[in-house]
Amino acid sequence: MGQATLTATPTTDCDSSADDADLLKQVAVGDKAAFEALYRRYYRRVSQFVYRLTPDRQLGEEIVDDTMLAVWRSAGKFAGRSKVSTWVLGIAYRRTMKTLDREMKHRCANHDEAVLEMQPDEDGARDPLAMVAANTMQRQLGAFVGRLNIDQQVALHLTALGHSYPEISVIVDCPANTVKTRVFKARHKLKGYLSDAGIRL
Amino acid sequence: MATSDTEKHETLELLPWYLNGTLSDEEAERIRKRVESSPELQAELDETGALFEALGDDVPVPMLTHERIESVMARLDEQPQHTNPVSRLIGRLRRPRRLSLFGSGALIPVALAAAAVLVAVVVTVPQPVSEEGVYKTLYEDRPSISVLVEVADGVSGADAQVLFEELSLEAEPQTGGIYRVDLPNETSVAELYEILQTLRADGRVADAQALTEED
Repeated sequence: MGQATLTATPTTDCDSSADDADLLKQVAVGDKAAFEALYRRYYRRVSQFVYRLTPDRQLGEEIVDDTMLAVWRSAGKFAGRSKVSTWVLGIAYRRTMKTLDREMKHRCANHDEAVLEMQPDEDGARDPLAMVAANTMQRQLGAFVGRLNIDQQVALHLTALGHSYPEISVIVDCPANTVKTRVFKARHKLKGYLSDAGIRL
Repeated sequence: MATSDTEKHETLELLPWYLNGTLSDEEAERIRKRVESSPELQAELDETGALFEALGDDVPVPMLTHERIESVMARLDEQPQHTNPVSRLIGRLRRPRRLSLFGSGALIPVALAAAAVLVAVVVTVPQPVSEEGVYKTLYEDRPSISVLVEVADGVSGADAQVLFEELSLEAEPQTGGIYRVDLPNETSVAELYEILQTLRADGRVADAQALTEED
C-alpha cells in the first residue's frame, strides 16, 4: 500500500486554458520540452484522481506515467471538443480502469488471497481500501467510499475535485443524467454508512 | 415558494455541483432559490457541503522528483506518436496474429505455414495480403468470429459509435475502451481481413484483433 509514506508535493496546478491547448499542440509535433511542462502541470491533478482510486503507490505511479505517455502519443488527436484537462482526465480514467481490471484478473489467476479484498460487497462494490484500520475520520470516510461501486467512486471523486457533471460525463463516457444519479446514490449510501458508524461530519 | 417533488429531486441531484461552482448561471440561480425557500434543502446542502469538503481534501501523492521526470522523458522515444498511421499499420500487418490460440503443439506448423505465405506475398504483392493468408490458415474451420476493437486514447464512446455506424458494424462496449463486434457466421476470411484492415487504418482505433468462438 505505502500510502503512509507518501507526501504531498506542491506543484503548479493546471486549469484548462489556451496555454494547455498550446502546449498540447507542441507535444503533438514531438516537442519534448512542451511535454515535460505538461507533465509537471498535470502531475498533481492526475495523481489526485488516480490515488483516490488506488492506494497502491507503485500502481498509482504506473497509471499516472502511462496516462501522460498516452497524452504524448495521442496529443495529435486532441480535437478541442473539451477542455484539455477533461481530455487528460478521460485518459487517466480509462488507464485506471484497465489497470485495476488487469490487477484483478492477475490476482484471480494466481488465486491471490488478497483478491478477496477487492471483490464486490453486497452493494456490488469493489473495496480497494478494504476498511483499513480506520482510526481517523478521513480514513473512515475513505474506507466508506471504497465500499461504493467503482463508477460511483469515480463520479464522486471527480465532483470533489471540482469537475462539472458535463465534464464528468465526457471523462467517463456516459450520459450526464447517469453521472447525477451515480453521485446521488453515492451520497445516499455514504450517508447511511456514516450514520451506522455514528459519524457526523 | 413551493417546491415540487421533481424540483426537489433535481435540486438534491445538483447540490454537489452547486457547491463546487460548476453549474451554469441559470441552474445555480434555480437551485439557490429553492434552497433558500426550503429548510430541508438547506440542511441537505449543509450536509453535502461537509461531505464534499472532507472528500475534497488532498490525498497524499508521491513527490515529483527529477529522477521520475527523467525516467518518463527517457521513455518518449519508445512511444510512437500518432502522426504516421501508415507506418503503424504496416508494422502491425507484418506480424502474424494470435498464433498462441492454437496451443504449442500446433504452433510450429501454423507458424511455418504463415511464414511461407508471408514470404510468398513479400515477393509478389504488397504486404497486407499476407495477413489474409495467415487468417485463412488459422480460421478456416472456425466460422463464428468476433473482433475486439480497442479505441485510441482520447476517443469517446460517442466517437466510437460514430465509427462503428460509419462501418455498419454493431459493437458491444466492453471494459476500458474495448468494443466487441460479432460478425455473422457467413463472414468470409477475406471480409474479416478487410474489416480488420479498415479498423486498424482508422485513427480512432488503437488496435483490432479477431477472436474465434474458441476464445
